[in-house]
Amino acid sequence: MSCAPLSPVPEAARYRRSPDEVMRLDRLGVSHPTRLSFLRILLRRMQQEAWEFSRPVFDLDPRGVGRAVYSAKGPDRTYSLVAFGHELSPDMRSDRVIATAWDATFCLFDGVPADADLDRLAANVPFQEAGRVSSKELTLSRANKSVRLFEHVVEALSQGQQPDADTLSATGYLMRTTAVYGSGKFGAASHASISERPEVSAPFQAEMLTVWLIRTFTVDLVEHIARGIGGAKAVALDPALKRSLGVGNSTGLGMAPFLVRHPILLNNWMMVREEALARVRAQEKTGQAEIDGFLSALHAAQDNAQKWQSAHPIQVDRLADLRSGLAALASHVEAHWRPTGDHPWDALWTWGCTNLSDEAQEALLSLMLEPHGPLVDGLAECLQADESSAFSINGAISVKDTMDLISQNYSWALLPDYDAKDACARFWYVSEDKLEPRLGERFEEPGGALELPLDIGRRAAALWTALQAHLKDEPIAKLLLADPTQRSMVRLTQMTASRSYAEIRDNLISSDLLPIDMLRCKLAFFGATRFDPRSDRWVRISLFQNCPYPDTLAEEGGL
Amino acid sequence: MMMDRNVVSAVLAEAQQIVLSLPEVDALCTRTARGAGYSWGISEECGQAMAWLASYGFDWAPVLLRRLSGERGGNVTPQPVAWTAEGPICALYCGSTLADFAALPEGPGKTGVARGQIHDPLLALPFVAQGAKKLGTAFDCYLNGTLWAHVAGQSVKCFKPELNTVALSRFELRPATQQSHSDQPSKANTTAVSMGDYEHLTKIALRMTVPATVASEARAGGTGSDNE
Repeated sequence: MSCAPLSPVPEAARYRRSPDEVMRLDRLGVSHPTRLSFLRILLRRMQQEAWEFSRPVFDLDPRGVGRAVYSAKGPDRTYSLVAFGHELSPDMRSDRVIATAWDATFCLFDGVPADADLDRLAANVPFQEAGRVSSKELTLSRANKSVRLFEHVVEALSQGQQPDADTLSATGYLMRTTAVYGSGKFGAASHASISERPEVSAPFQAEMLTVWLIRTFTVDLVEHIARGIGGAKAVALDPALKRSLGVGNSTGLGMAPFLVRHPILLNNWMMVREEALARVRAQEKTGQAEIDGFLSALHAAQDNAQKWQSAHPIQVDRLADLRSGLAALASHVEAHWRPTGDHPWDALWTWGCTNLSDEAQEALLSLMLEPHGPLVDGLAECLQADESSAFSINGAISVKDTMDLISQNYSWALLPDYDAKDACARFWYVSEDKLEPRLGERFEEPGGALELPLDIGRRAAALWTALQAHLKDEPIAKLLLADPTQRSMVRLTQMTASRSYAEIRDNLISSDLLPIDMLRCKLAFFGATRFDPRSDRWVRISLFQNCPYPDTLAEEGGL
Repeated sequence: MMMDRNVVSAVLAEAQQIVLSLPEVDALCTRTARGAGYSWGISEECGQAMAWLASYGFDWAPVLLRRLSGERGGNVTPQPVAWTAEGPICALYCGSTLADFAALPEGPGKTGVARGQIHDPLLALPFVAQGAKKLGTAFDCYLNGTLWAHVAGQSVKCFKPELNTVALSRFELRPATQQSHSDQPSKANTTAVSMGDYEHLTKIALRMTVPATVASEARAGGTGSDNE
């Protein structure tokens, strides 16, 4: 990664974890959000640059049907969330991609929309995938109400009362998005076309801004409907309760292949996180402010772990690991950790590796980064990548060098016997109806011949075999001429040559694959909390819970 | 997705053309090439190549559609100066091979290369640009002996736009003797495609998809109601 030579902590390199340790699915599947997660990066930037926020349009009827606009003005540009409220019959409410109507639909507009823009968007945004937006829009999104909670809050506020805090906490959001499309989808501006803008150059910043402004809309909407019912008797949501609400997100396999199809981005994200951890571990001493920050974060994490609920057996076990692990960590810190000793953070980390589960270790990673903003926040500049620059195959690389690359980064891929049923039990494909990624059972369902090239391990092994038939000093271009089916894997070996965190080092077509592990990894980078699997390939999470709103961002500490 | 005009917005239902972002071009053409039977590697390169053509304002869709429905062509054998093949070859194969061999003795770097007949030569231009970028040089492209285009790593200048739609032509690359042209217009971020071409491309792309079954639908979602 290009940032490494500029590291202010050059000795950190020897504290970095190996890709063989961190790029395994069972480790990626216990990822936790950190201060380098994308939503934190957005909030920090907006606060540091003193962004201004307004709501120039709020034209909703008492049922919440209509339109609203929320504008976020930065130093150079303004972005506006355009929100449309709809009336939705309960039988139409679905979080799945097969849905055709939602409680609310949104887009992020580049600038402040004129009436003509709003009319154009009103004719398209409510249709989502079946409409078109333009390069004036950065994202397209929709959300459904968390019906029971939304109704409870409306009822309470309309009667001049506050909703029950425990009921609010159990769900954690009034609405959940079911998709946030960006980067050129459905006609929107591509990320490449706006990547020169500092405020959106880090990954998924436009998407995070969209969701953050949606959060404000959900609270405004619930208060607006309550006022329509209760009139003068109605009250606004208590600020503390309001803060505890995030925006939910319901998501499935659609986002899983991203990590495989964007190896350079994955490498950068992982590298940044691992470099951040290594920098903290490399600190010879620490100060009281860092210790206090760590303890504060630990207490908050314990509180969050208590409120974090899931009925999924895997997550139930992981939550138990997390709670007991955080408790053990708190005890250790209080009784045994010597922050005045040599390399105190590395000592704490080393203790964690021996005494904590994987789930709690990854939580510890996040906690250790928390008080070290000045040391690690600059790494956010290294998250982005121009992936197109590494796309073209270098045909001059020799067969031997290609074999060396496989040995270096894909040795894990050569271990399974891919002819064994369990090792190739699944296949990834694109569904005909919604063009969404799906995971099929190879020996039970049709469609295996239309498999997506996400079986990286098997492809690496096939390339390894193909290489054996060629002279070692032969250029790889000659192999590709004879066997074009190896092109995508040869490209990957070259893209990942100097990017050791680029690849998930597990068999993605194995019978024991848990797609939710891939989802949790990506969602943690977004900054998601309350990961709650609803199956092995479907999950609900929360974004921006306990974060500031536009009207409180400036005064927020510890971003 | 295949467009069902009964369920799309009124604006889209009546449109004669559709404006696509470059990522959409890339994704659509990757799937379309795959749907037409190309390997994943070539399909990915087709997606990137069409986005490159779109960014420089070329009318890529009709040419790609003709390519995907036409003769695939024979295999090529790269050799210094002149590449041989059994009959005309596909511009996507020819282009990707040119890019692969760019820095090798068989490539066009030093003396250029003449390659007999190729199908739909427009589709080879993005790969020529890749080769030029690798070598830090520029190439002049000739069709049937006529100077057609000047291609550098980051620019393209078309001298005979009327040749862009040529279906079959003798193709030759020569190292450019002059500096790259600096009057390159800024690259586009979108491309307009006729609705007919768009629907044709999506129809081919659907061949690489798998119809949903009750089981796959059920497995893709979560358990429990979303209406809670």
